[in-house]
Amino acid sequence: MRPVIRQSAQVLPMTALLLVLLVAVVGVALDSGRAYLARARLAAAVDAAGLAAARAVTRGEDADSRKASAVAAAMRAFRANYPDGYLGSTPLLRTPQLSFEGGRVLVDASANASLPLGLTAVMGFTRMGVEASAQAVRRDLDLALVLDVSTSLVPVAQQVKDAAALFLQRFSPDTDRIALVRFAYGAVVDMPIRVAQRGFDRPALRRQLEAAQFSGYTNSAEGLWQGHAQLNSVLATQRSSLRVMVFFSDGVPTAFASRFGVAGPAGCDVAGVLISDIDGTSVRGLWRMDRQEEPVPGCAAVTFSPQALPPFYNAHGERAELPVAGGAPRSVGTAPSWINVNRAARNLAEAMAARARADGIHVYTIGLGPELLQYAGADRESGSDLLKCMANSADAPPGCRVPSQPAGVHCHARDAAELKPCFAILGAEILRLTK
Amino acid sequence: MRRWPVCLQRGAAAIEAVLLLPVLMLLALPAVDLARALQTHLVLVAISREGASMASRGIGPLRASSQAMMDTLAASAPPLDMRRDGMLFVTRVMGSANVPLALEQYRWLAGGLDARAEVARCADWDAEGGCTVPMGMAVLPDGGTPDDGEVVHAFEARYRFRPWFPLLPGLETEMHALTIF
Repeated sequence: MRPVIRQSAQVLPMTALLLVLLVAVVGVALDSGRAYLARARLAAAVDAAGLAAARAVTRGEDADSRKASAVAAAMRAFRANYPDGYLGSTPLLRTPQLSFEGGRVLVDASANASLPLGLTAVMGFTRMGVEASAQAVRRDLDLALVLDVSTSLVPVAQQVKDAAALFLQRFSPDTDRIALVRFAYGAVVDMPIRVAQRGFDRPALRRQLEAAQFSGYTNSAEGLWQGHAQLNSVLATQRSSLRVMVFFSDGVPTAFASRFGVAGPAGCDVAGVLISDIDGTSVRGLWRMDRQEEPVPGCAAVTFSPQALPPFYNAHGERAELPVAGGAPRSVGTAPSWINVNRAARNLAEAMAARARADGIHVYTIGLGPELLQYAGADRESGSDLLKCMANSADAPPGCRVPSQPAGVHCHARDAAELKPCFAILGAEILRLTK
Repeated sequence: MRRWPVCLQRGAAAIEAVLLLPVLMLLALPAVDLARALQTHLVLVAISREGASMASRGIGPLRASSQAMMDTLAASAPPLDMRRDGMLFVTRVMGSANVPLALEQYRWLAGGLDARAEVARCADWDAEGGCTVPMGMAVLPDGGTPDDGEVVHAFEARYRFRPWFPLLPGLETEMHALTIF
């Protein structure tokens, strides 16, 4: 019986003893929980820092300042995601390491945080360190910026230039290749893409942008042709893994180039641009397809033969994949009527974009102005739909969506003030693909 | 007479234990909820990090992909019941002369928690859970403002934490995690 008596007296002391143990166990659980939490936050912050560095490595006038801006951006992004003193800890982001590999930029970031322990401290541990590291990759990129410089943009010329110049800030003069194409009646390559090396001359590109004058009609097809040609002028083995065309326009195509059937004057049976008014009756030609606004010498006002429209786009040699008369989806006859020219110009713009996409090029489009949302032209279509079709965006009309081809994004700016956000969004979409 | 004290003492042990049990439970049960709260927070941080990563690295337009992305994230959240007590937001923020401007915001349509985003307040949601009308200035933590013309993605995960043992008032609380990529 004695043992029973002794046992019963042990309940309270035992409990007291176990309580100490319980507190210690709870303390370890709490502290390790906090450590896990700190590590999760730290991992997110290091990821963010790497990405921010990969994004900001384009800013600055020379390679050194670009590296400095990448490091500064990494520090800021880290701080935004890991508040100083989070759970009482002291974080430290080590200077991110940048390495350039072909056209890619690799950013290696790592950080640690030391956090004071709470109840575990009674067991002699006072601080605990957590570690995190991440790598961000900025992929190699070839980009053609194709800008509409038609007359209708004159009132917002400066905003267009500023938005485009800001957009260029987001691409790396060390690793990304960029071509600049402007178009109105015809298309002009303001800045050819570098075929042998990588990178681009940003100050020169900015000067070209600043010098652009706005006048003429909208020959979207020719702009797309030149943008595509620029991207393809890079040797196939040297091309970047990401190829992008950014197309800006404030209107629907009203012109296209080809060799038309010309009745007179003699000698005007050459490749040139034919324009039509959007809802008019007038069809006029010819303009040079390689100039913004310049008539073909001696052929500024030609008369066309009754079956003037060729079966195929033939401004740069016969292109059986780009039909004019008999083309689709809008039915086009051979007569040089405004309806046929209008439809052919739209068909060609879509077909050229599809042709570029078939080459693996992502097409992104920006539309400006309320007119694009109106239904007008020979088939009562909106310019916005056309631009969505060109981009093959997720919100494009079902009739023109091609799921097998690269999907782009269309952004519509209602006014010039929305150009900057639109370019920013497209930039973000392009950079999403580069990481 | 000898047996009485034994019986009494045996009973005393039981009574002692019975008296102590509530105290022990009082100590142990909040520890359970504390652990659950920690876990909840951990999951929220993980979701917001993964969401921000998907938003900034994923393929395709944000508008088209945001709902599917959030569904996937919520599916990885158990034991958190995001459909009943959670809400997710992704906000695209542009830097404009050192001011962060919210460009577009999407909320998770299947989220059950009636909450608002902290980064930017959408006044009017469209049917796709989007908000693209200019929303004005965004509220980002220190250092979060992007460069001029640059864009960042802010992903917010919110969750109403329900304690199993609401012994203390104020334990039912809304938790929040934000990651900016």
